Amino acid sequence: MNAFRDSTDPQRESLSAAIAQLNQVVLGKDREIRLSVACLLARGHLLIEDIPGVGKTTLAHALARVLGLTYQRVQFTSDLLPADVIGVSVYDRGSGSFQFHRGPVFAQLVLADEVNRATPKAQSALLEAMEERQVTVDGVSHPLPDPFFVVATQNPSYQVGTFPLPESQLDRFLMRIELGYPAATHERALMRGRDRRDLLATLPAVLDPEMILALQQRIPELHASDALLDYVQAVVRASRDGSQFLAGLSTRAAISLLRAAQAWAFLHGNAGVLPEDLQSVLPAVVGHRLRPRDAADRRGPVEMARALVEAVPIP
Amino acid sequence: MREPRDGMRRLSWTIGGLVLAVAPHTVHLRPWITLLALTVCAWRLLAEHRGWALPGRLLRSVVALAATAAIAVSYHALTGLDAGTALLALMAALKLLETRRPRDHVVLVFIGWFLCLSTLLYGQDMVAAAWVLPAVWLLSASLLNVARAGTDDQPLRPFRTTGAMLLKALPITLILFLFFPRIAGHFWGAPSREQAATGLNEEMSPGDISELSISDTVAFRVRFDGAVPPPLQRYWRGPVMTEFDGFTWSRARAQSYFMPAVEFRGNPVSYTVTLEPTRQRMLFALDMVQEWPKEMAQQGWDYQLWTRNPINAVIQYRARSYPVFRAGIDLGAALRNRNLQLPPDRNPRARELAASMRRAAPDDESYIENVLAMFREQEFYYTLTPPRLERDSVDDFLFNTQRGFCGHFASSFTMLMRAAGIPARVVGGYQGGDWNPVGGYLIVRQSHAHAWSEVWLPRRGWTRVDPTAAVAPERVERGLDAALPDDEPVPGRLLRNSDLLWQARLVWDNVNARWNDWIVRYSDESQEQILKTLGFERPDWRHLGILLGTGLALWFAVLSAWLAWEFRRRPTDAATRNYRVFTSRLARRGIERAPHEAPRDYLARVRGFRPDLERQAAAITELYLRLRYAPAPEAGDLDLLRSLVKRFRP
Repeated sequence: MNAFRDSTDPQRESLSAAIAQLNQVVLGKDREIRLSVACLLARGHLLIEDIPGVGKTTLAHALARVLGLTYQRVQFTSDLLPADVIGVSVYDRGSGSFQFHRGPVFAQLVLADEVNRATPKAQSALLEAMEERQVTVDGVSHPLPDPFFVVATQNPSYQVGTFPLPESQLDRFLMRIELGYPAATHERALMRGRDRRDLLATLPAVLDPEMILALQQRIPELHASDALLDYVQAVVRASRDGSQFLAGLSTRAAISLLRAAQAWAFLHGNAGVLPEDLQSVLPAVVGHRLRPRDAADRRGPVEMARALVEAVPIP
Repeated sequence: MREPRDGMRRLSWTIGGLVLAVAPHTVHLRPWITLLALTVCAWRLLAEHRGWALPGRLLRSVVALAATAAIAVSYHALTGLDAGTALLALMAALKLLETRRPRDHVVLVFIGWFLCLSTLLYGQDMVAAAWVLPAVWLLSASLLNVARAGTDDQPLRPFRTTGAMLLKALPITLILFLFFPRIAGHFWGAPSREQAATGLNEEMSPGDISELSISDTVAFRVRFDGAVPPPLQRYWRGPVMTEFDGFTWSRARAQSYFMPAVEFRGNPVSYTVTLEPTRQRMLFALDMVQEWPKEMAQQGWDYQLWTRNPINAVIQYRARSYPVFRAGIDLGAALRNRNLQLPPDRNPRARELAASMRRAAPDDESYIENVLAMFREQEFYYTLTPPRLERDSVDDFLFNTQRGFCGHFASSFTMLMRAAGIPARVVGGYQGGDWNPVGGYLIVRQSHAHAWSEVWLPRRGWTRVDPTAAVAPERVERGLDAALPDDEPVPGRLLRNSDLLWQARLVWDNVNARWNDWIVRYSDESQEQILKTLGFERPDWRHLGILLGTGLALWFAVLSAWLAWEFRRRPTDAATRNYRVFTSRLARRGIERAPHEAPRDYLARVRGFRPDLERQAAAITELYLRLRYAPAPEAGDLDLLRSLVKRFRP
């Protein structure tokens, strides 16, 4: 008996199909794939943090293919300029005026690869675009496409030659996930299987941008009961009491948490948001927004998020 | 860095607390100490305001040493209650000169608390207690204020917090007061002060009692078992003075005589006296006392009651007296001679007068009458402000000034008796008393102090003669106020003329009397009484310990319950309550749900441990989730959950 499941929704059916497709390409990462999709549905941006070569780029590319979104990849390097991201105005001799040439950011899914390799100046160009959902050059605003979804990948910041994103900019990402090494069986399957790049090219699109926009609109309407809001607030309050973390979660973080939980609940066919849904998205949503109070505290984002969950009884 | 305003506030609070704590001491502190302390306080506040530097270590040390020396000189001691309090008060003030950090404030607050405590060593009357309370409050608030910096938005919050703390401590105080085992005797006694006694002395010079009469303080209170004896019978016997050096009457010291027998007649009067501390050894009783607590006091040959130790605390005793009696029919030669003793070369004119008057009278009785008539008919005045008397005080009084107070009349009369060969002595004590209808007891004040004579007559024994009554009968019948002319200052006269004020005063005195009865005089005996009332047959300190422990435990239980109520898990709806029943039943089977564990995660765990429970547990979990998190739970969901949980017996 499952009081919440509602499997007669065609939109969600195709969403499930898309997730199944993605699982064909990125093996053994069902949870991370679902989080990515939930992040997209909640109109957030995604930060994937991990060492090179565990499938970050593949995941982003596969998302674009399967969801039917236009895709651009920007490889961030230390000499990347803002214009390389957002575009540049060029003087057109024929018309006698400046013409704006759109940069790679004008795509529905932008992969900002190794975002922490670029200088803060280039980083902030992207992050501003993410926040404003438009680009302003020479006083003219150019709206970005809708849906607009940025997947940034990042190397662990202890690697040489990186500019770690400051906290205020980390906050722009709804979720931060890690991929981690695949399990042995999946790794073997990857070795035996076709090259992912080829596979990507043949991947059919299951969704289209209109469907995604419609889905995105449904997310905030998903029921969140008072009991659940109590829980969200209890979590936020616990993060603010100063016992564990340098600074508590912001109101934006609380809203993000709720949206992400709503998207997760939708993905799983729940008619209302459950504490389970909240707990599932919580590490990804709050992990990168928390700093340990104690400088000697070496816990990573996921451990801190887990500690936060364990500190709060479900009301 | 703290705000300067913050420092000012902390300082003024601490100083305020100290001033409150020292204030009750100012009545017995040397004025220079109070003055110096206030000056230092004012300077320190000004220094804080203006940002002046505080004095250096050397200067501070010099000042502290000088202050100590000054106290040593002023009090001839550094220990003892008076000198100790003075030292404490002064050092508290000087400590202000180096008060910068919170730590210094803490020290000052502790000194303040100690000063409050020492206030109660001086007196445990209600006013002192009522004064100490706000002082402790302010000091505690000051301590809290020091501990928490920078709360400009709620400057009075420490007051509220400490007020609440003190209120919560009140029942503990009460329990400790009631049940902390008290030890009989002087162990708990307050240290006695090196101070002149208030109240009657053991000797009397002309003018002594009139000084006393301007004091309105209460000497003792009396509660009668039956009717109150009329004013003429209210002679409270105090020191009996037999020695006369021509100026001063004093008690016969270190002489023991056989006590002449007393024959009691008529109906006795029984009463209970609550005596304020006198720091002397006298007990007061109505003439003629027949029964009194024998372990407390013994009776001398002059029928006066003496305690073994000075009375330093409020005490209470029961006594029975016979207003009609015959005492000392058989006087004995030694005692007779003692009561005829006069300094041979003093007061010659009075001797002459006595001799001539005695010759003119047929017997002793008519001689006494004549002397009283002389006081009554000649120009003798009763006044509280008599002129000073010369060395031959009786001569001076009888022939020159003729203005006097009860002491003058008693002294002169007794001397005239002795000069005529009639054994006589001066008796000090109190006469009369104000009836307090509010509390139903008699208030005897220092202003009721009196002196009268006793003469010995062959067939009547010791007979009381009050020469004052001859001059001013109102004094005896209606009190001092009535006996004195309107222009003389009498304590409480203004009050007596206003009914409302007088009434208020009586109520106030009654409250004080209760305070004495219930608080100050609470002792090991009172504890025993309480234990007996509570049903312990042979109470001892162990029972007190039990009550103490139980009382404290009960109060802490009350506090804990209150806290639990304050911090209870609030909105617990019906669904959650039922779900909790479900989880607690599983917990009893060893599958405990962590507070943060999501219901479906818990369900998965339950499934792992007890696959047999899966169906039931899943139904309950999903119903609970629907009730609590779904947009529109179906009607009947809650009843279903209830019945499922009720039937769930893992």
